[in-house]
Amino acid sequence: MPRRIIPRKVVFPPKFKSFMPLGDSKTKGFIELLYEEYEAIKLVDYDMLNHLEAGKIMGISRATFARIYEKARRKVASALVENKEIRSVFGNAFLNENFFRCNDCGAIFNMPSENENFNCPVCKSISIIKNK
Amino acid sequence: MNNLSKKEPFKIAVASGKGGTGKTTVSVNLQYFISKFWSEKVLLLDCDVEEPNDLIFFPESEITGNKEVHLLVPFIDTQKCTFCRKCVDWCEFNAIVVIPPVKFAQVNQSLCHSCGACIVACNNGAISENKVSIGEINNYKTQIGVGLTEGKLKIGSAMQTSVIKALKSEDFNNAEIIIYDAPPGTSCPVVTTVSDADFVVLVTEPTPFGVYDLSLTVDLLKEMNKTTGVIVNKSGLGNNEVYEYLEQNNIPILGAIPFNKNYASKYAQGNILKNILIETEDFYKEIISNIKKYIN
Amino acid sequence: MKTVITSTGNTLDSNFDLRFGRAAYFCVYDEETEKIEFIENIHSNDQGGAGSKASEKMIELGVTKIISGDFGPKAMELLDQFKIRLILMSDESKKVSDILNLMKK
Repeated sequence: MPRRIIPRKVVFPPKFKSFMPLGDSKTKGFIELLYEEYEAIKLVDYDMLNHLEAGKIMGISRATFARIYEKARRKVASALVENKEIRSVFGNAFLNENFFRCNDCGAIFNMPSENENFNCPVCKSISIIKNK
Repeated sequence: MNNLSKKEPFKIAVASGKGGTGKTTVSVNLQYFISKFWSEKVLLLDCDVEEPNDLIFFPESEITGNKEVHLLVPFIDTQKCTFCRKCVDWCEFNAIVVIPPVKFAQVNQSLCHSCGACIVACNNGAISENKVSIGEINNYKTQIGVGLTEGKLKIGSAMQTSVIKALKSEDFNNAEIIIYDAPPGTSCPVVTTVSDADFVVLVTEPTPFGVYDLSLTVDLLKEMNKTTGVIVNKSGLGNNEVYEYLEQNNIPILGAIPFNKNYASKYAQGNILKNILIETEDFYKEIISNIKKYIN
Repeated sequence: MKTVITSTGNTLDSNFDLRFGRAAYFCVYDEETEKIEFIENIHSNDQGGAGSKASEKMIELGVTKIISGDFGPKAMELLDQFKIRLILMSDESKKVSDILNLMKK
């Protein structure tokens, strides 16, 4: 049995359905940017994390992260050069849509019932980032 | 051929401890040469249900049959359940979750091994069984012998042994010899595969890894009281450790197949049954006559 | 309000365990009575299903919050059904007492 692909944790999924190149009517084809690939680019090039830290956040090894990141960059580059549409596709992600992160203690937590207060359940900090 | 006049077919299992020693190569060749020199009615059974790949060597094969393999997975009726947790205690695989305070009872399908213990355990008749597909069995007509039958496990399922058992319970009434191509290793699927074999051919290679994994398999087969013989594949590589080991343990060598780069590239193209070299034929002739010797 | 912290040992000085189903001990902290209790995880070395067994235990205990490193798919599915709050922390050098102090602040 080939090893099952570990779902990659995607904390902030892309907010777009697709990016279209403007100014060239001959736009042909599209690339499918997987959620985990988007997350990889975001973590490294936007949040300025290194591969080890980024891999930890996504729940995968450094090596696996590097492979995903490399693929993501190739895809984006080919879309930019070849005037292709970039579509966001779910891929092998697992989303924690209802998960939040505390800015003070770094804990990630969910809100199973709606009437809970918005403090961090560990350190009661009110500095919370919503993962949406 | 007195032993072949029996109704029950003669079963040869091809196994190895280490992977990549040449089980599939030997199985496919054995079928070919047995059909040529021994009996026309020889069937190849691919028991490596996780990755069945014997079919690759028969590009002209035609599918003649397909059957799904089912497993019965229990289902708990929470209306009838008294949450006594007896089934949980009986379950060896932690597949049942029962939480009395919240009246919750569920079977986790991916952990269940379909042993049926929970159904026996339940005094309230709250557990019934549902069919779940875990794989399939495919029959193929090939140019050689009476063809090839393979088992294919569904990705994600861990029930190799059930598929192998279903594969073996197929009706092969026209086959006189059946060759089992076993999975690598010494785990449950291998044990299931060799369990009813009349003779086990072990394929090894003369490397330290080959010897070590061979010794594990030999120990296993000794415990199962199986007649075994060893084929040293890729001989000429590595060292002499394997021959020393075999001599010390009194295990017969059925034959040695020298390493040949051209053969390896032929294998990589999936063409081992085309333009067969005379020397290859000689090796297998010797192996087959040795097998016949040891079974008598 | 009971909170469980997965722990590698049965003292407050033990390190926090990043695994949930295979944690060595569960530290149960009752916020109202401030009672702290350590429960051994008897399923930590099981071949499979440790996560769902641990979840079963949590639900039985009536826990409302669990602090661990990560939760497997089976455990998460079960715990979600019973609206138990999952808290993920990634710092394995933290001690159980450190986390408790954070909570008591």
